[in-house]
Amino acid sequence: MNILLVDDELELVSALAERLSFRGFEADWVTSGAEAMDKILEKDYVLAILDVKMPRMSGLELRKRLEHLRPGLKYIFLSGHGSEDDYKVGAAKADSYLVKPVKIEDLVERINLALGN
Amino acid sequence: MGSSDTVQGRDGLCFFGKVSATISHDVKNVLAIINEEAGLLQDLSLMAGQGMELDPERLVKLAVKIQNQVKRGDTIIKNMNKFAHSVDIAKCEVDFYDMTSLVIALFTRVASAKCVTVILKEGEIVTGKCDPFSAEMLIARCLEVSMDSAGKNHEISVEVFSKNSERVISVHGLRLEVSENDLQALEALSKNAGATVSVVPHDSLLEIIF
Repeated sequence: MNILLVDDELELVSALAERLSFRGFEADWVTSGAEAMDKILEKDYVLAILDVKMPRMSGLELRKRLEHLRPGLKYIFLSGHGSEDDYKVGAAKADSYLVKPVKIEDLVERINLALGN
Repeated sequence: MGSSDTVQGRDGLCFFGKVSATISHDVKNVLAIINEEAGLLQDLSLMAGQGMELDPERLVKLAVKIQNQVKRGDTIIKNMNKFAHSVDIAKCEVDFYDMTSLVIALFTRVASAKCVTVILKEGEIVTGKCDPFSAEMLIARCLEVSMDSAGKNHEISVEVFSKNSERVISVHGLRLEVSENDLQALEALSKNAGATVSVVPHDSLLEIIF
């Protein structure tokens, strides 16, 4: 199952993707919303893990755009602080919402839940 | 109380809160990266324990990445400490170049969110007396107004220099007109900081003069 991770912190998103690949997921990563919109068309992604706060295009804005490009895609949001505002604005509608730093076991559990595994 | 007496109470607190929130986001990111890099080290060690070949060079690279994040975190905390102490004394001798550099560093995330590049031109020590907190608040607001005026995907450049008996912080790269509300807010802040602010539209320039 293909997963796309999007976070503007390159070291974070690349390490997270590698750790997920060790756990049996096909995880690709990009560092911006613009890249994500191109990448999402390359494979049959089933889940996107998005950072809430990114420059240029926030995770919440990106989700709106991805919904048009890939209907039915599941979402998990990662946030630095888990502010209530972020949650109200849209992350609440996501399949899951985690606050950084995340425990890989928690993330794997949320991915499995979102994918109905 | 120190210099916060001279800054209109709630506005000063709001500024302090905004900077603190920005710093906390930056620190969170650093911790999140260290968490993943350390997790990766753990994963690789476990896999090596199960017989997977492990390239020592990979471990060295990961360790260097962690060290770099620790350095990044240290710089953020040092800036936070410097900023926190700016309320200690109501009026003192400061280096305006150093102060401008600090405010630009504290507002890196804001600039990034606005998609504006801020460049501080190399300069010399420019000393003078002021209320550090009020001056930082004024510089920060001027930078934000300048970023908004410059707009997405543009650049502003900042210069700090002495001209006769005045200390000048000039911001180049403004494009759109600065609103009347913003000008009024800058005027109020500049009074508090004992400075004047002028916007010269045809030169795409904003100047703070102490």
